Amino acid sequence: MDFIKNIINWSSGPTVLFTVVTIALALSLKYTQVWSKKFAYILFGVMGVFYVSSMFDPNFFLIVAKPDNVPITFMLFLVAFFTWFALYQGVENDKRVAAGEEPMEKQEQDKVWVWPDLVYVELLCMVLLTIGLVVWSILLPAPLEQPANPADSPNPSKAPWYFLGLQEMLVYFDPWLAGVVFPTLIVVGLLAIPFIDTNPKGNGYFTFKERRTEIAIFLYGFLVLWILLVISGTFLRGPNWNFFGPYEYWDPHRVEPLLNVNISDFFWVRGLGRPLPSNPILREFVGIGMVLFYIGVLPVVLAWPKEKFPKFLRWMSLHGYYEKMGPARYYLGVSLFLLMMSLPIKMYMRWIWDLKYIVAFPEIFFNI
Amino acid sequence: MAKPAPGHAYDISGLNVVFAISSILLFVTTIWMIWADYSREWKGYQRQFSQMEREMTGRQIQEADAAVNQRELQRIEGDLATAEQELEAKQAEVAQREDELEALNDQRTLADIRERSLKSVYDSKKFFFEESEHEGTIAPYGKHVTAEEFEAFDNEFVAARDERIAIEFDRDAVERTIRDAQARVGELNGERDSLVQSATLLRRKASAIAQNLPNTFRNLPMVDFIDPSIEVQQVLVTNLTEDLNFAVVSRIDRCKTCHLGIDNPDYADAEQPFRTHPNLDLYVSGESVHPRDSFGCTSCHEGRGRAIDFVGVNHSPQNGEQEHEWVEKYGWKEDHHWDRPMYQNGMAEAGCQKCHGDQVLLPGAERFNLGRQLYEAAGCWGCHNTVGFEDQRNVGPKLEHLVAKTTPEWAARWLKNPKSFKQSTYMPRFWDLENNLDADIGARNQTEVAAIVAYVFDKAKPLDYGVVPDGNDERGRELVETIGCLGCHITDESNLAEVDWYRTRGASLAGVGSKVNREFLYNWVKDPKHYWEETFMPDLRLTDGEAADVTAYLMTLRNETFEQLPVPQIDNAALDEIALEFLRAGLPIAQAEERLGSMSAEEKTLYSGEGLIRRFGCFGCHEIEGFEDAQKIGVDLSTWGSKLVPRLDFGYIDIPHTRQEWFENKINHPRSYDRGKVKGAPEKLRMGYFGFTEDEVQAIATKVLGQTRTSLPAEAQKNLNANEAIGERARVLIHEYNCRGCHLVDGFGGGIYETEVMTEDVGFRPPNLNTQGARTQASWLFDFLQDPSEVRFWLNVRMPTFHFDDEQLNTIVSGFMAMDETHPFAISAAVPVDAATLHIGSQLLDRLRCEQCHLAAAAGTMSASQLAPSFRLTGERLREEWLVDWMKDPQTITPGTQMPQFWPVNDAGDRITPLPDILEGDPEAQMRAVAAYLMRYAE
Repeated sequence: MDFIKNIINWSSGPTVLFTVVTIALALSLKYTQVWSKKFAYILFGVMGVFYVSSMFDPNFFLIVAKPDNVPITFMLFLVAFFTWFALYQGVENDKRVAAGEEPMEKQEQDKVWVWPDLVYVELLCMVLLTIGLVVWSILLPAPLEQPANPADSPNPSKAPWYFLGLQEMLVYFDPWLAGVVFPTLIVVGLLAIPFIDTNPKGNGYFTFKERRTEIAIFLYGFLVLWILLVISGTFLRGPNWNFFGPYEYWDPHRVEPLLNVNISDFFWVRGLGRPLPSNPILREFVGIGMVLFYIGVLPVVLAWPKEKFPKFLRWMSLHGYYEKMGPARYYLGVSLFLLMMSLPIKMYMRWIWDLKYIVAFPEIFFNI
Repeated sequence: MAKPAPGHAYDISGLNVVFAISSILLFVTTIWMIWADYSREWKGYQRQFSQMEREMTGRQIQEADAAVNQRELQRIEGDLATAEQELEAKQAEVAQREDELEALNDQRTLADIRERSLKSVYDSKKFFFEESEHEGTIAPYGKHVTAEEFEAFDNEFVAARDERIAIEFDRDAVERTIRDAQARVGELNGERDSLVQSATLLRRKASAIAQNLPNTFRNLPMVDFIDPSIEVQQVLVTNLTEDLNFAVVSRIDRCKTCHLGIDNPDYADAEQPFRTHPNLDLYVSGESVHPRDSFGCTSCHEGRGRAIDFVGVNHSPQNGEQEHEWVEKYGWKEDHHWDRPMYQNGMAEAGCQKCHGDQVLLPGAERFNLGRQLYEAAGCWGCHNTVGFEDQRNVGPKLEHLVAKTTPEWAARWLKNPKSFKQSTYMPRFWDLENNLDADIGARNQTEVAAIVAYVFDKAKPLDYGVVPDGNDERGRELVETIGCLGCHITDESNLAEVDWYRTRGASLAGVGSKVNREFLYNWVKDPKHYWEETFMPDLRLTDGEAADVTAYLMTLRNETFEQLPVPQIDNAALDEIALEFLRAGLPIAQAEERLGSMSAEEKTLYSGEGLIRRFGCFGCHEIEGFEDAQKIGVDLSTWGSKLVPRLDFGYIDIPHTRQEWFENKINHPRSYDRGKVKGAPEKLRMGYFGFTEDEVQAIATKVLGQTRTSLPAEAQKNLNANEAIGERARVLIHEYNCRGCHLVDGFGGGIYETEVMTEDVGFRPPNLNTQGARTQASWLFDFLQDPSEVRFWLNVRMPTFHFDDEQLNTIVSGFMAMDETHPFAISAAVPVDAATLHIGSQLLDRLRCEQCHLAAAAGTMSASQLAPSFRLTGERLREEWLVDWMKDPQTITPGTQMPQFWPVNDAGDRITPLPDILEGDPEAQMRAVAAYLMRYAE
């Protein structure tokens, strides 16, 4: 039992979990036959067994049974369900379309039986929901902590769950980026989707094959870059924002070394063996160059036709998209996509090379 | 579920089943919700208590009934029967009178109506008449009133009034007649009611709390918002505020919701939570000085007053057993969300300090008093800054002249383990504790001790003692046992637990011969301030011969076992290690080693000694040259009672996470929090081990846990009035100079009373200082304290000369005055008294034979306990009013005195005299005559 717990603890670490989930998502979108009813049972079965059997571990219980975290668990089951449902329907519809039939949604009437069917079912939903809420509120009273003491801040100090993804990002990014720029970009990006994504397919019916790229990008961004970070922030971060596996005791005395290095340190101190230059621009020129390349040059380069790329990099060319979407949409979409991908890229750079900042201007509190 | 019928999306009959089940579930859930809201822990306790009240009231009714004087009751009932019969006989007449009364009342009503109507018109007519008469005004049309009109109307009105008054007069007469007839019956009824009054009240109470339908209905769910009898009981205290970090709010204590019998003395034996509060005359009850309505409960006991469940209130279990019991019974767990849990049972006196911060002695708070005494005596404040202890004199002696007192060998053995020489010492042990056991690092411990001793002796300066004569130790022993040394000192530690605490204020003299040299001891007993100006040891006015004898005797008191102990030696390797450690604090390793190499052994020793003294903070208790401005090494304890528990380092010690547990463990095992930790020598915990008993530890914990950050508004605190403040300042001096070693002050003390001489004959005891302020004249007391004169010639003990300064003398004298609320200066016996009174006074003295005991010299056949001060001293020494009080009742002033009470109070409460022929047997006058005479006795 301890062996299994240790494995789970180890595999919940940010590096392993992130990588494994990304790969699992990619595989499941490549081999879509996975999304079946049988898969649902397996998925929910595993989640249920994991959850229930873990409740016997006192440390896991403390985290999960905290009244604030109970709804999060509910929502995770809901997320899993809706993801599965959408993809399952999509795969079903794809099969039907491949066989020449219409998608399932087109077969439904455009009218709904109201009395008694709809109304009755609505009433039943109300009653069952009321029962659920009342029982929940009796068994789990609203949590109330002590009068706030400025000399005694809670450890860990966690934001509400909907911000925990951002708080987790704070591990890798400067607060300006993780707290202001990224949330803005997320909102702007979501707003811009109708402008960028003009694919008329998939309107009013589930599909996967016809909207493969869009769904893949969205699921990656939502499930991995958001939900997974929320899970990590809620359940796997303990005192001092150290990582603790689900079965580990939240020891506030644990000390983990944090020896992260900037690009400028890599270049000047470790690379050239020199002290850092006093001129900030000179000091950070490598990082600045990297960022400018990534944001400014890379989108343009990616739009080049395939022939301009060496053979092994041919797959990276986005020329097709450039042609299809036109420059405006292309550049907007690619820029947003690159900015979104900068999060996992930075995370991996941190994990592999202990990278702290690509560009570091502590004088003006601006770091990337 | 079956397939939906055509025209339907769902199978309706299936849905019907779902609806039925879910409706039932909803109903059940609603009932559950109402129940969950209604059912509360405290309601159970209140119901239980109601039942107890009903039983108690029932019992009390029985007792009250039994207590009624049956004969008296029967007599009243008999008389009542007779009176009622008489009334019966007069019934017809009474009925007639009542009819008359009714008729008269009706008439009166009519007459009254008539009068009042007339009056209103009269008032108006008077107004308009005046207007009409007045030259400058014109009455409105139709309102003009002539003089004749007015007079006529006036007469009409007056007639109506007279008629009403006449009717009333008649009516009152008839009423009186009726009342007189019924008087006797009413009177007897009243008598009977007062006889059974308490039983009646109890019956009323019983019916109010009876288990009947209305009382049950009041408390049902959903209707109990109207007027429940089972409800939360709270007290709101606005001035004793609570600090919620971001707000300061009034205190609301809801403890009585469960602790229903807390102020009712009938429940002294009930089970908890209904038991009465102990000491109701001091706490909780309305007549006490700490009534619950003004103080609440949490102001003393802490805890969360607003909560109304057992766990939420933060009750603290006494020990592991009780914790288990509570976990099972109440689901108790530590509350991490409240920083001020209740004090454990018995520790409530920690809460006194919030309001009684200035006071040194709190009558009734034994544990606190002991805690404060120990905190001061053991010198906790020497290492730990504490508000209120800033100006204290150092607890330990000055080490400036140590070389003139003892040897380095003695000092090293002592320093290593003080209790090996003197069990009663408060000096703690710093070596051979958990994180520096001799077994682990023996050589280093010895080296540290030897280095410190070397440093101190190097800095110590010799003293010139002059010639020291030889003495006789037998005579010395007699002196020590009789002249009063034993009030502050003991010479034998074999029975330490039984010794009075005040006799341990001075250093124990057991084994002193092994410690000091003869020259020092002679010099010390002759003039202690020569060695250490700030010593509290007084001067006993010993002659050279007496001093030599005492010295000779004390030098025979040796501690053989201690003398055999090995002397800690310097180990060169360890010395290098220590010196290097200190050097590396300021230099890099290479330079440090170089410096080390260049130091001689002596330099290394002194350098290490200085560093070690700085590390262990010796200067906190002892004055050492070079450390005058050094900072105390310990944590500031002024607000330790508010320390957040998460900030305490429990290390690897498995104890409950509460302040009290941490503190007690710290005192009992000061270095235990280092267990299992990797620490270099400079980082190790340094607190010494004091060896306190369990009671002492709890007392000190009471003191320190009460040192909180709470700052109550000034009007909420106990503000000492002028007299109390002076009294407290005097008590500080009384404590410092250990008056209670010999005397009873405030009713306790008198350490010396337990010595052999004093137990054989209580007459040899130093006097009880009760009412000292009211007893003696201020100027005499001042002079006496400055330079004691003989008052009781038979005493062998000497009142020492303390060499007080002006400020101290005034504080003590005015302090005694303040304690008795008398004035320092009084109208003295200069007030002339006529010769007749004086003569009578002298007569009384002869008749009562006062001078048989109040002798000037030579005991004769009188034993020490019978002797009393001579009257020649009275005029200058005592106060006349006090003399009268003394004569009235000597036992209340000095319990156990042999002075007879010549003017006692008899059973009826009158004072009687044994001499009814003098001054017409008036006790008051006789006493005053005696007092007046005594004040002029010397003339």
